[in-house]
Amino acid sequence: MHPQTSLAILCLVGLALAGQAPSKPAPAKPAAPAPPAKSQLVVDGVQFAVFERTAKPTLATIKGGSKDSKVHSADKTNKIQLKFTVKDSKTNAATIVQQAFVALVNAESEQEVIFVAEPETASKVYTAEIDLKTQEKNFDGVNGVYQIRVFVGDSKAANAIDWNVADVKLTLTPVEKPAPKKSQVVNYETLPVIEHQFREPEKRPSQFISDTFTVICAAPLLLLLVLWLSIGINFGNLPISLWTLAFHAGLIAIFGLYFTFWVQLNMFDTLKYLAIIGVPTFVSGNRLLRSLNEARRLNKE
Amino acid sequence: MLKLAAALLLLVAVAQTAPAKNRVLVLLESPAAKQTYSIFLKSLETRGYVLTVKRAEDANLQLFKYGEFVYDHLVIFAPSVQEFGGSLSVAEITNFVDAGGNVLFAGGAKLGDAIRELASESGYEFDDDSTSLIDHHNYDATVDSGDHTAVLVDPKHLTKASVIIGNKAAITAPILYRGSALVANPKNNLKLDVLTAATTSYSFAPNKVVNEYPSAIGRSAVLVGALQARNNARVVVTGSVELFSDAFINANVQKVGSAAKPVKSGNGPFVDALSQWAFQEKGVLRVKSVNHHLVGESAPPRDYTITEDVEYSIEIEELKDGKWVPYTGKDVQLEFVRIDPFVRTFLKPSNGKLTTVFKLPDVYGVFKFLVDYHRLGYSHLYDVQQVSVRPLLHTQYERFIRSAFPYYVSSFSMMIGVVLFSCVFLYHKEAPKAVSTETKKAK
Repeated sequence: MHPQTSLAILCLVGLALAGQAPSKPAPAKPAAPAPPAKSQLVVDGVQFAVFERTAKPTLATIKGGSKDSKVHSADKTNKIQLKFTVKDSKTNAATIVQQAFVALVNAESEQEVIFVAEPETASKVYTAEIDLKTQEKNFDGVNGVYQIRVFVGDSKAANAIDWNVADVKLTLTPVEKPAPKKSQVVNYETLPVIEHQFREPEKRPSQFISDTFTVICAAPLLLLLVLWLSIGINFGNLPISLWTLAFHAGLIAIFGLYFTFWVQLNMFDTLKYLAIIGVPTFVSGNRLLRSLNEARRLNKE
Repeated sequence: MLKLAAALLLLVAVAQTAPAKNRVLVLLESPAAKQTYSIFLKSLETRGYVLTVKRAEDANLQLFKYGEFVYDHLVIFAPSVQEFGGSLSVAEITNFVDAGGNVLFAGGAKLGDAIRELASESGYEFDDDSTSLIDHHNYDATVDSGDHTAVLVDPKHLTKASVIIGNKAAITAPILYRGSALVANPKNNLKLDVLTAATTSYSFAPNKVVNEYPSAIGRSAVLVGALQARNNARVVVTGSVELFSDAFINANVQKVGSAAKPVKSGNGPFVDALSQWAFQEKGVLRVKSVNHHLVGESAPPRDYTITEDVEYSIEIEELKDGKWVPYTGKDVQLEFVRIDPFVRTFLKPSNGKLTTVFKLPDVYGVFKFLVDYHRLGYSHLYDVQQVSVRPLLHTQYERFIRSAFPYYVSSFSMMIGVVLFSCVFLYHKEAPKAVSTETKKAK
């Protein structure tokens, strides 16, 4: 039993060693066949055109590894067409690969729009035709220079290609984004600073005008005094009594209170003092008039 | 006797300690999977979390018991589960997030209905079943099994918010990712894309020729997405459960076709920072106190008057390493709002507080001091203090206006005139008119 088991083990080990592929070390796998050698891809026969939608394209060939030196301009009346073939570098036969994308990447904002290139069944030539009229909405209205890059890749290939074949300057119709509802807005940025605009004070007339009119307003009082003196006034009927004094003192005090209100008091204090002064003034005025009336009645009889 | 006293003290101590938010429920596909994520789970334990590891289909799972949380955070590393066990379901997990719990869950190439539904609740849609993220330009040489699904993502595709990913300088190595891709729901306003794919990536069935437009392509394919709900609960979704696995954290990665030496993958610091943000250890703010008063005083008055100078100060604290420290952000704004904002200024930091001084507008009404601070990765801070602003008292206007002197002078001259006139009118004695009657009689 012992030599047979050891022979069996030797055979198995030999098989395992023989089965191991030289390129990929895979000790966990059992004796697997060597994976096919990966192919090298090459993108060839690149033809590029930017043309009017209604016209036919005039394709320009771009040599391998280089970039079209001219920056094309395009807007919604144009179409962009790109044709290319993916070839195996050894056999030089056209192949179909898993990933054949044409990407337009904005050079500044890094916004990108990616298209899938479709191969023709017979010739296996990949074509990507970008009709800007219909595709315009994908660009969100961002104008600028876009790099046109071709991405080619395959899981069975050893290399992948990212080739900027040309640059195109797009001019797109601006997009009107509907304003979202205020309750739905999520804002992570700072808002603009607001400084309150205070109301400007109204314009006032010049001081000269105010002073002139002040003098004009004071004039009637002076005129009154002058005219009184010219027609002659006397205080013959003045009764010598307490009520006279009280009344006139009270009246002067009330007007003095108004002056003080203008200078420094507030309404509530003024009303309080007015009540205090006003009552005796009223009473004494009443008494004064009564005594004057009495004197006149006595004079008449 | 001593033992009894010790037992009583222990009981008191246990009753006094408030439960810290550190209970994590980890759901895995099978108990053996615990070894696959041992580094990540160990790091959670060293940060003080109490982990409960269970199978996703366990029949005894529950998040709530008698209306209270049984766990504070939820981690689901079971991408292929079709239905959760016990009382757990997508609706229950949504309630969990609504109540404030945080969730971190991951999908993979084989995705079950439960995870797919959970992701769409969080604002991200997984790509179709059996699709993976493929990148023929950036895949790892060693880990990849031939279909270019072990993708190396450059750290430049991480979000700019340093709160979520930690110090950006700490993640310099590419991140290894293998799984399906997510597409963000454009209607979701609260989502944050933490990690997006490169321009050359796409999500499709591996080893198949792309014959239709992939739903996740280029930078619109989201690899790690996050959501901070309006109650500040956080949900993190990713399409690769292997992101957290020991194999990926320890892997030495080297991009195929690049001449650079193999470096340790950036997965370790990335998942650490991600879990710190997801479990509310970072980026959490709170208001400690708010003060407003007139310049020169210290207590708020009953009401303000228009055009007065007001000083406002707020203390905001941030959770750092388990401690609340004063927040040092420079972009906190204060708004003085009466339906619309009248004043909006930046708050400046000054010894632990954020303060500003401004002049109240000359409009009166009921205003509020509003601080609405919402930044990427931080919790949402919203503080309102309502105050009244009254118009000027009748004594606070200008008393002596030069242009009004004509009016003053006319009033006072009238008053003087009244006083003099009252004397003259009352006491003037007319001269007797005897002469005129005599002349009449003579005729």
